[in-house]
Amino acid sequence: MAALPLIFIAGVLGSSHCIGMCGPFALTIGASATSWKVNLAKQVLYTLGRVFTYAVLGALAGFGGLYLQRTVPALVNIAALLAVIAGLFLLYQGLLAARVIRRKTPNATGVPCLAGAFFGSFLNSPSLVNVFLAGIFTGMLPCGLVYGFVALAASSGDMLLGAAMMGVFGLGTAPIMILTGCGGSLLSLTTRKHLFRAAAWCVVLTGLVSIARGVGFVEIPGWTVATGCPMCD
Amino acid sequence: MTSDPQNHSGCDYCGLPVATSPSGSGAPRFCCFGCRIAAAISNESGEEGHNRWTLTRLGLAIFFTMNVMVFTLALWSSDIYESDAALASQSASALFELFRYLSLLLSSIVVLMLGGPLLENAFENLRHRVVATDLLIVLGVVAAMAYSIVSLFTNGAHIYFEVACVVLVGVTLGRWMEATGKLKTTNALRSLKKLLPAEARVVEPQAENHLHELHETMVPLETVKVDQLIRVLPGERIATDGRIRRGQAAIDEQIVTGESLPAIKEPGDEVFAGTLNLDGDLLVTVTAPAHAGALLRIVDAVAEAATAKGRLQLTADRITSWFVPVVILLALVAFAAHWAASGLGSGLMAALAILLIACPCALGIATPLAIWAAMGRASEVGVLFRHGDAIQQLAGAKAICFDKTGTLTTGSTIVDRFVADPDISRERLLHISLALASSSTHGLSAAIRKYAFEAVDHTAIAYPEHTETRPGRGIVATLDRGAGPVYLGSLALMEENGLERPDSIREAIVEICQDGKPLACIGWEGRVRGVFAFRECLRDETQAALDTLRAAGYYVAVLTGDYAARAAALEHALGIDIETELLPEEKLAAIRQIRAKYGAVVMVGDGINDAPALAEADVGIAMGCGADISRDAADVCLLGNNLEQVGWSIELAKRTMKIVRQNLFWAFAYNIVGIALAAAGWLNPMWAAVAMVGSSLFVISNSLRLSNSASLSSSDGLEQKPTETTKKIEDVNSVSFRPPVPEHS
Repeated sequence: MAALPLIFIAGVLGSSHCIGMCGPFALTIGASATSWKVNLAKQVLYTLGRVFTYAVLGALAGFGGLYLQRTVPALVNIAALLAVIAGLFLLYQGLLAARVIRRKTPNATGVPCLAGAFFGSFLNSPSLVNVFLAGIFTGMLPCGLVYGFVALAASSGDMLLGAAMMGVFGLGTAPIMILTGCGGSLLSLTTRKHLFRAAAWCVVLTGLVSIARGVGFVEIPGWTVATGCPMCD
Repeated sequence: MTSDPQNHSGCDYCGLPVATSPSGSGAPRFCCFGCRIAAAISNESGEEGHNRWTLTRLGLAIFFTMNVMVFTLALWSSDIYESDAALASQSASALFELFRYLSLLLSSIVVLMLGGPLLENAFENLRHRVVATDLLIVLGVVAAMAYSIVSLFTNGAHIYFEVACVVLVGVTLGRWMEATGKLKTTNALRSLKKLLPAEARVVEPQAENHLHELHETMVPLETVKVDQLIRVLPGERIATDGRIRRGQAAIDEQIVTGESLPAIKEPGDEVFAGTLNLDGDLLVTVTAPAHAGALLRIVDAVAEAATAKGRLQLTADRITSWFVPVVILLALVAFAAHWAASGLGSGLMAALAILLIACPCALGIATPLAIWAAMGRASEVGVLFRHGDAIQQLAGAKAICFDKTGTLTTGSTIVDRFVADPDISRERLLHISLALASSSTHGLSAAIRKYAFEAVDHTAIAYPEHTETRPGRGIVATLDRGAGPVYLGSLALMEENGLERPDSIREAIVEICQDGKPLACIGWEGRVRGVFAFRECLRDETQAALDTLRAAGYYVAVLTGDYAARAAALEHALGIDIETELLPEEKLAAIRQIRAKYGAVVMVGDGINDAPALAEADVGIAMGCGADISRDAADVCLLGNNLEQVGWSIELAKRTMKIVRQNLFWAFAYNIVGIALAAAGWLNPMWAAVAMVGSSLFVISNSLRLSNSASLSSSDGLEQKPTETTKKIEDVNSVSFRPPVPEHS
């Protein structure tokens, strides 16, 4: 499947986006490690946890997509619609990250996040099982990028493919996250800034491709997932 | 963290009221399953190197549940793909068979991991005779598992492994998050408690005279005994109540007395636990053990108030007590009905959904949680509600009555006007007045001192050779050896000593008497030379506080025993109704009249001489009771003397009741709709579990909004930043008045 390498690359480039949110978690995981080997093991476990969650989300999304396709097939091309939605979502996230558009300041109601205590307990625990579990819960954190790819996975309409897409996306985020967790700040601030911007535009690009793909489907009804995908050709 | 064992009957984790009666066994008591788990988790995390099994167990259960979910969805997708030839192949059906067995394996692990603690809690509840749905939920889960296993081995159509997993994870995680939320509502109190140092610097008695070679030992605070000496360095908080043995210091007592200006304390003065020593090296004789110190008395009073079951809490308990049996009955009926109609599986699912969606928790905590959050928030700004009902009553107040002296006014007097005989220099007269006034502690003398001190150069003052105080009259003093006596005091003192009044002074005295103001004259050699008129000193915030209350639509009145003439000026200045010359019993009658005309009455007083009025009003608010909160029986105590706290408290009370109503509405609406859906069999137990968590979290989050209520505008609370305190030390140094000579009578 030619889409998977592209998703992997989007994961790799998009992961500089992850450093902002999840980088500190990776650092926390590594904080209690006694040697770099232990730390590396922890980072890998942590990443595996994340990838697992992404794959589950992908499978769930794939099932959701399948379910929608089978229940309302006559009305609209669900896969195309989901691809367009995913694309718009990714486009929005990318433009936000590239600072082309700005989000309205969220209204600070001051209601504390009750899940924080739960998640934090795993992050600060030294045992390897808990590191893996922390990875699993990190994968569940609200993240625009993940939502975009979840929507993309839903558009596949296949549990296995959905899981594979999200799994590959997760693996794509692995290198930079592991590096961050191991080396702290190997990359300089300016490098990270440039990378961040490049990643933002990459997400925009992924979004555009997804929209194009979806729109292509919509224009020629009757096409199936297996043929004529502009991303796969 | 788990809170210390306290003498009130709260949950050992979150401090909220426990529905059960005290067991007396000394075992930890928790208000809910969530607090039990949360306490277990935080106890484990406190122990270094412990494997945190409770937490890991929960995490692993979630991991396995995710797997079971995916397997189940894959099985469901096989139904969707039914027509697909590729998937109908042998290998695919073998794979799906594997998924079914894997689901059994993993969900069994989840049931073993999470079912145990839930069951344990259910039995604990039974032991305390608390009717709860936990036991039935566990039974439902076990039944769903048993049904699925039978179904699996007999090739039945339905398996419910994922339901069992999600229900257990949802209930456990949800209850734990509830506990975390509840804990947050009591954060305010815990943070007050944390202000006390963990250790005190105990000094050996024989070493006290050699301050430079003190033999000190740091001992845990709870081991400090009465009569021991402790040393408190600048910048440290005083560990427990005591009396200064040596040293002097400016002490920030805001946390206890609400007074924003630091107090200057000297040997013999009382100091309170939790107050901050700003600049002195003090040796303090302990007068109360740590647990009876001023700060902990405040914390305990709030905790006690919150755990005391007020009318609101009792109502909530009553609702919960009939709600749970009704839900159980409904679940049984639904079970039977759906079983008869569409099989055992549907019956099981409908019953389980009802048990899960019914949220006695949301009903039960809708009120107390909001009350608790409000009390905690109030204690942070120095407002103590003595019981939860006070919040409800305060929210419904229509009229607010104030005592005058000590409430609207500071209780001290200031010189309003000074008229001097034109034949004598005003400055000389003030010098002499200052010299005489300095030898007296009388309130009017203090006012004269302050006035003269600010008006003239006080460095070159001749102090009296001899002074004599005439009780109820004034002071007679000799300034220079051989010179005649100087009189400072009442008109009677002047008349008794045959002092004449020149015309200018006579006119002034007539005017002052017409205004009803107190006065004092000064004179010598047969003539009154000057006259001081006094007035009471209004608090800085009085006008603004009263204006705010009137603008908010309350009827505001002042009830005072003072003379009508004296109150007239105040009435004019503040623009409010003042009822004067009221005897204590007449104050009560006045309150009853106002209540009849406007509605619920709040009485604000200093709590000492107006106790009957405070008790008669629907809500009594006592001011300045920080140093001794047990002093009076007002419904609300203001630690400090800031009148703005009155309006703030009413606003908080109204917000609290609004949130209580929202919570109750939500809890009722949610339960009615949810139970109806579940009874109809339209609700999968998985969604019911998620919805139950959502419902409780809504109530908790909504209540927690009270914890973030705005502060007082003048920030005269306990939240002051250290920098402001330091600034205020400078201020107090520049304005404080210290008599130039030692006082003697």
